[in-house]
Amino acid sequence: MALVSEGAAIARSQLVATTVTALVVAAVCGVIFATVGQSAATVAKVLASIDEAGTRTIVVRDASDEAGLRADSVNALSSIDGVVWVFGLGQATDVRNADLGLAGQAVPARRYYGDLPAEIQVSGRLPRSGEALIGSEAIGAVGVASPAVGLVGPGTDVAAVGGFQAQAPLAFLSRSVLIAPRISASDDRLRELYVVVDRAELVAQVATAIRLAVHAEAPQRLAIETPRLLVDLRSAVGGELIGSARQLLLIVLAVGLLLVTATTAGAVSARRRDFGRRRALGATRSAVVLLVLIQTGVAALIGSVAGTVVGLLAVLRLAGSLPDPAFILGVSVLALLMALAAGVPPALLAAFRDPVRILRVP
Amino acid sequence: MIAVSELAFSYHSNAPPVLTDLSVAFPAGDTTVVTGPSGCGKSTLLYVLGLMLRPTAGRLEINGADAATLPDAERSGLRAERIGFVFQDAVLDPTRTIIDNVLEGGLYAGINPSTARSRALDLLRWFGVEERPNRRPGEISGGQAQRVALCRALLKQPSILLADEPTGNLDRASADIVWQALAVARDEGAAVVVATHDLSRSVEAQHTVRL
Repeated sequence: MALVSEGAAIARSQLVATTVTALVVAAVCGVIFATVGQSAATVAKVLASIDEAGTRTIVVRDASDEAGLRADSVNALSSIDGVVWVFGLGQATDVRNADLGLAGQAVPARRYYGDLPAEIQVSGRLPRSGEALIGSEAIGAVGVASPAVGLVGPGTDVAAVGGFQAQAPLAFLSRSVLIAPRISASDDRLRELYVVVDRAELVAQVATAIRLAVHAEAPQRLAIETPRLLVDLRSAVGGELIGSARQLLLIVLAVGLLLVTATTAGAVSARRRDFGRRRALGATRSAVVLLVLIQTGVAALIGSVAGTVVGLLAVLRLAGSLPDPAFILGVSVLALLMALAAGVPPALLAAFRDPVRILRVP
Repeated sequence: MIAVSELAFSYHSNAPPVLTDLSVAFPAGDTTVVTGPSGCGKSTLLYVLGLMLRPTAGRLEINGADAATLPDAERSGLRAERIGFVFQDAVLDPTRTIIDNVLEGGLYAGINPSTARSRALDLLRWFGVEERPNRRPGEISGGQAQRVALCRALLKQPSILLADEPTGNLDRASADIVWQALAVARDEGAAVVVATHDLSRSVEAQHTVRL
């Protein structure tokens, strides 16, 4: 503890070296936020737009109804690690506005299985068993202004109680009617299952698990579609962008490292007599190393905080949003560690100098 | 008790030895004056005794144990806890206050900070340099600086006190104060070794070593 306060006192007494080190570390933080921070934001945006195209979605299809895909597969697949949600759809049938009868325009209606995911935003109340929701693009086709309407079709007679707007990967459902499942529907047949996983990298692994966990009479006849091309594209684009951001980060850190090493070496050189005296008074080599590193660390801490604040203000002004908190913390800690690493060679130089050579009066 | 036997030292392997075949004991509670012409090795002997130089040959015993071959960390530990050193030109830290300079004498020995502070103020008072202890060394005279250096050396109550020409740059009055302080350390049981050109000071010592 005494050495820590002594190191802090050295940092205070060597204002020029402390200020220069703090400025270098602050500049490193600022440059990282202004360059790598913006790159990171770009990477996040590009990956988000690729993800919107469905990189995390797996579709299990029983197009010809030969596989016997059962509705209880929804629960079975929900329990697979990495699965965010599962949504099943039954076979489509045409329904029309009951008031218009055959004169009305037909729209596809499908029973759904599983909880409505956040990608389907419902207006009005949620449907009970035997009730339906009309997609935002289907309302006009049905010929009504509001989604409260009776719908009829072959073997179907349902009341629509609300509307919905669907987003990717279920955006196509906006042209449809969704009918809530019957209370006991585990044996119902599905035509499609939409499975969304947590991260694109999990797609292949989850697709394999689906094949084993799905409830179907002839699972080998199911088509399991993975967005392999999109995943590959995501990986390639992400890898490229992250690679260049990492390269930039390494360059900035290397330059910062050199500058802090030079500053600390200069400060140590100017205080040769100081470290010689400390050794003569009983400081071990490790105590001298510690003192130099504390001095550098104090300066780096000040610079890191100042650089982070200024860098974030600049990013906020330029990009309009702040980077991820983990990234902010990571940059601050990295700058601090960079400065400490830069202080090691000068610290060793100070520790291994011969005190007699320094102190002796000729 | 500190003693050397058959001690030899040279700064480089191919340089002529500065000290050869020196055997002498420096008893606790006594002052030993080391005299001799310039370049005879007075300061070198003090640096060897202060564990800042390793002997080329021979033994260096502190309380019966050979300190010459100890690893650096242990030698530093002995310097921190048991050896006080007064340099010819005080060697104070110009960026720190007088009281901080004195406190540095106990820093590496791990002396409790409040105990060290109280003792440091007592020492400064005893040596007549207690006025404004927050002054920097640049604001005091050479004699005062040497007294501050003595306070720093005495803070840890060393069992060995080494002084290399401690009065070389001082007037008679300041030199007297320094010699009084060395006598106090001796009376407290320290082995005091003083390298000096001033042969008149031999009368204040129990032993004299001529190099």
